Amino acid sequence: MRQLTLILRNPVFWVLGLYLFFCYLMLQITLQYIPYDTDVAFLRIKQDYTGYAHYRIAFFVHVYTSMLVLLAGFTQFSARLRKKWPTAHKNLGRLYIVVVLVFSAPSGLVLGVYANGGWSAQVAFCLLALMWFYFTLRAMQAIRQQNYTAHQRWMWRSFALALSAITLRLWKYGLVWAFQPRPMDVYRWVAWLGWTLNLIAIELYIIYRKQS
Amino acid sequence: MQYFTSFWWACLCLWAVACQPKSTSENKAQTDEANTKPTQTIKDSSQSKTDDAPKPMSKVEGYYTGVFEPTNFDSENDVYHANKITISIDSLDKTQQWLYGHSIVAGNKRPFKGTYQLTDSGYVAKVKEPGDNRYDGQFRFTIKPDQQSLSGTWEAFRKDFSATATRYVLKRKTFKYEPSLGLPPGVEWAALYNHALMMGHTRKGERLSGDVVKLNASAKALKKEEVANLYRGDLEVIRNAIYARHGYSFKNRKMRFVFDHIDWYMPISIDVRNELTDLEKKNIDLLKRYENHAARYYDVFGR
Repeated sequence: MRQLTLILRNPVFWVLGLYLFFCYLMLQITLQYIPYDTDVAFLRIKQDYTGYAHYRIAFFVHVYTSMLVLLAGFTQFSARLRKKWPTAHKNLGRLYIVVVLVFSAPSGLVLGVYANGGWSAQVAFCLLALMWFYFTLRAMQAIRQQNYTAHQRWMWRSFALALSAITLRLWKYGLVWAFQPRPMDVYRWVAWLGWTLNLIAIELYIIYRKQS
Repeated sequence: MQYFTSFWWACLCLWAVACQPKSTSENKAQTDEANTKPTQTIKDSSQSKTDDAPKPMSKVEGYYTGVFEPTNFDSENDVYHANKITISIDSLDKTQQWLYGHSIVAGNKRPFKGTYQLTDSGYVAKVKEPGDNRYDGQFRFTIKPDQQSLSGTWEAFRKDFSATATRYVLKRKTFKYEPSLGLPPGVEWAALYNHALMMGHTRKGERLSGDVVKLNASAKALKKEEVANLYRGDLEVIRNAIYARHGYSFKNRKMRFVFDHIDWYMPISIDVRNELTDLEKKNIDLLKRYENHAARYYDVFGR
């Protein structure tokens, strides 16, 4: 019983549980596109573009690979796990970097160009993809130079943007629940809210860490 | 860390709301798509020609349209509504004094026949529906050719549903498909539609807004951009207005709440699929894509 109370009091337990729950929801979204079909779910309203091979490739690459980013990234920030299994940290880190730099971010950029919601949303998603790529690249360079502090900071930023997959959808849910805006208005709002606030939060945290 | 956990707590609370079951979603499945599933077929072969437009020369034959108003009503258990009905007088047998016709109301098309007498006040008729449908009954009405009207009462054979007796004063009207007909401004406030919404017959995002009168899906090809930012409720009515222009009688009660109050609307058919123009079919496909998307994704975690 005391054991259980300890577990329940540990915020890590809750954060992890919540995170896995959202990963499960993301998996549900991913599974809508298995088996391969260009006229399901989100693609039902993207029929103008599903005729383009590059759009189709980008879309399915993004959908199929991005789950890995969420799974590989999360445990990397625990100092204890890093010390206990340094090889695991290295390998998961490699996986994260390859998936982001080769698959998720470039495909995200293509999708951003064709995003719903007009120029504002397109700019938001393209910026997101470019910054995500840049942060991840800098993190990779930093670790190659054995600069651990810089590596950690760039990875925080990178993962803050990766989490926009979840926060964007949460904002959407919250906005619709509270205000019931028009469908594309919601989309324009969350295209920005989804990642900018994550980035601000992590920058504030970095500043806070520097000071203390 | 404190800040971080409270953020996730807030997220969890949001999610608790997200996971509430949606009790009304089943409702939708049964009321929508009535137009694609004609449930009635007219078995009586003598009535098989009732779809033909009535002869224009006749004084009596033709369409009479108006409100079918319940006179006994279970106000405790049901939303009050008077449906729009069209009674079509198809032919008169003058030697035998028989009258043939059919009625169309709430997506239900039923033939009737009976006897009539020519009196000072007009043609006084007493006609019956076949009786093999739950909602069949007996009409008594008077047709006044000089006033172009048909008025009377109806009583159901069975009494095991709400509103088993009605009265009506119908006006003679000819039907003509006119693609330019629009919805009147203010239709979004259709009182009964909003009432149904409050009673839980509709889901969030199904409210009508002023947009609903802006697009005519029979008159021009709709663009993706025009429909992408519309609420599901508006899209649904814009699409159903296509069927309404063809005289489709709605099984879907929500649609009746909207269209029954529009002057030009007269229900004359329970299947208009063959009447749709290519333009309309294209628009229906586009509208349905966004309707379905909104229904499935508007208020859930996703896009």
